[in-house]
Amino acid sequence: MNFAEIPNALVSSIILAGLYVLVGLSWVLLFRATQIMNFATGQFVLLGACLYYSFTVSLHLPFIVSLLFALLIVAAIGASIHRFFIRRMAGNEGFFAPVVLTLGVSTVLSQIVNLSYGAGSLAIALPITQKNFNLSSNIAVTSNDLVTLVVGVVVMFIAQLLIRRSRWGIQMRAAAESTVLASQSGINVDRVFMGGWAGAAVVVAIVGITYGASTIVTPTLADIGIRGLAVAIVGGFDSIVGLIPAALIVALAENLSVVFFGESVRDAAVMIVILIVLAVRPQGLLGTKAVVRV
Amino acid sequence: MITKHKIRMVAAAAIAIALAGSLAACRGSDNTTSTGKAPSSYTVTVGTDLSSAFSSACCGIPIANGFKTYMDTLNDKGGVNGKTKVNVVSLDDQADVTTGLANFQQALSSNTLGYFLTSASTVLTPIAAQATKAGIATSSIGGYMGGVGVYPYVYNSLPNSASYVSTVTKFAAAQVSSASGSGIDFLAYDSTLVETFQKDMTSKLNSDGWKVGYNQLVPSSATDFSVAAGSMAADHPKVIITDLLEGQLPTFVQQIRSHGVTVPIVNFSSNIDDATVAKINDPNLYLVEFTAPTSDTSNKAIATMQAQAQKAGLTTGDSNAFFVTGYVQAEIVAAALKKCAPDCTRKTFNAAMNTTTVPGNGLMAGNPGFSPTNHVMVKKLIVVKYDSSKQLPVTVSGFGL
Repeated sequence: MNFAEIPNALVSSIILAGLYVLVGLSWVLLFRATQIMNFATGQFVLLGACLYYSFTVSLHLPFIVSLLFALLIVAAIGASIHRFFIRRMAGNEGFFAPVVLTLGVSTVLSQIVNLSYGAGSLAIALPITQKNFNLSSNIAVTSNDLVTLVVGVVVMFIAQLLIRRSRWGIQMRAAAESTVLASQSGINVDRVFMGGWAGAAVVVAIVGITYGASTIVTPTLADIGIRGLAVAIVGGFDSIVGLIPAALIVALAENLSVVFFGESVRDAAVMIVILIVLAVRPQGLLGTKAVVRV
Repeated sequence: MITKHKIRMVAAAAIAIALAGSLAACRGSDNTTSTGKAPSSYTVTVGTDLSSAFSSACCGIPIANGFKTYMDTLNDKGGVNGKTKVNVVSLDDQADVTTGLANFQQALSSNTLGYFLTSASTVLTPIAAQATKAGIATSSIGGYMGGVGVYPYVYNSLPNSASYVSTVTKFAAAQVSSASGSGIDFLAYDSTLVETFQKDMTSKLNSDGWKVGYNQLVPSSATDFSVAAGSMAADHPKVIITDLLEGQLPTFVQQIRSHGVTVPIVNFSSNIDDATVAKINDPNLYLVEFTAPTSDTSNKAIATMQAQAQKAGLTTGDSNAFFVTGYVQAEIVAAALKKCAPDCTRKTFNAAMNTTTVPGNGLMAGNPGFSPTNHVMVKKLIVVKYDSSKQLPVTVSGFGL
């Protein structure tokens, strides 16, 4: 146990939360729009990074063009999944069928990435200069850390703005509340759901690009998708604002458990947080409690 | 009328048939036959994880392609002794025990001579038990039984703990004026095999006089090492030893360097791609490897191997160390077939495998292969570092091929 590491762990948790909040946002965005949990979230992280690699490294396109193309393609793939698969399951009220479908999508996407890019590693970069910032003798952050944090805050702000203020956001909330009523009031529910899939895919593709640039792109990059599930459960599956404290709690649980008990308890600490939240507030920190008339 | 005598006779016959059947089952089956002249082909099976849905796909596809590339090239030259071609059957176990066992049974009931390169230890465990009973050569890239191999039928295609401990500690000692009292830190991802590495490595470092400070295993899912980096910085080690995964190493190096720690970092066992080493581009990062760097095409052996892969249409994974491992293992299998030809049976083929080594020839250090007392294929490890002027990983003096 090294108490001197606590300030470092606190600062690192804020940075890590910036990453987790975006992955969590993808889960929540899609759940709010379509009531579906997407277990292919991690594969969209990987796909975004791989496409960015194709445009920047293989085709030598400028950063902004590469970024836009990568995000557009990922959005189109996300929307297509709804259009060609999920939509056909309309009327199937079961919870498990769409979940199994997303598991299938994750396998197919992994296979496509493997066939297209191989199982090796891909190096991608952002147009920033690598720098280290020493805040004190044992607290240091890198320029990549700061990019992760800033991107996390900006994307969260935009997502919240879109959902609260835009026409699409209002339609999405209406469709999530009652698909039938929303549809009868003239909302094109299908288009709203496609937007939800596209938005959720874009958010994690951004994670893939920013996080992939700070490390290396390999098939295991997809594993980060499941971290977002923990954040979404803790924050409340229908609450975007809840993601911020949830991401901080998960990141703090990870880092402080390492300080006090060592690296091996990192994953267990996250699970303990989930168990406590589910026991005390099953709907999550800021989630809406479902009321069922019996 | 049925007499007591007739009943006794029938019972005795039934017991004799049952005994003969069970004895035959105990002996195991060897579908390969001896004819005295060279057959048109030998069959060997590669049973590994070829599915991208599983993390070990990083190794399965390259290792199978490396194996097939060597055999394709050999077949183009007429095969073993220029007469007998080698038919390679690939079976995908998806890192799943049930699928692996079904594949193994399928191979066993065919005329295959050996079942090679099983990727996961969990899959190999039940296969190894059956392979020993059935008498068929089997190899693995997992850490089954600590990676030492099981005699006389189970071979290990990768280095084992003893090889890593020996090279890593020797290299670490070369970085300081005296190991005695010098601080050293250890960080690795957690797996059953790596737990063995950690125990053996720590024990050797302590016996060499190092002062082992931070010594932790992180989950393979860990993406952040800032706390570890801070703790290590406070330790002021002279050397840091890591066994981190491809996706973890760049982040760790970045975070430890951001804390102003500039000491040598020695990463071992994790098969770090050359592209990753180039991306990290750290002048004091060293990698302990079991094959020559695959991006160094000035190495004639690597260039030839990759040209053969191109010709065979098997380039997927040809920049991966596991591709080289599969290629070298095929070379050993071919040399063993040459020894037992023309009458290769499972038994004679395994006896030949048990005594076959091949020259490393620029692909591996030392002479990879097997002996009756050593079933670890890789005999010597190398240490590489990234040379930014050549934009290649290069071997370190004293630890080369």
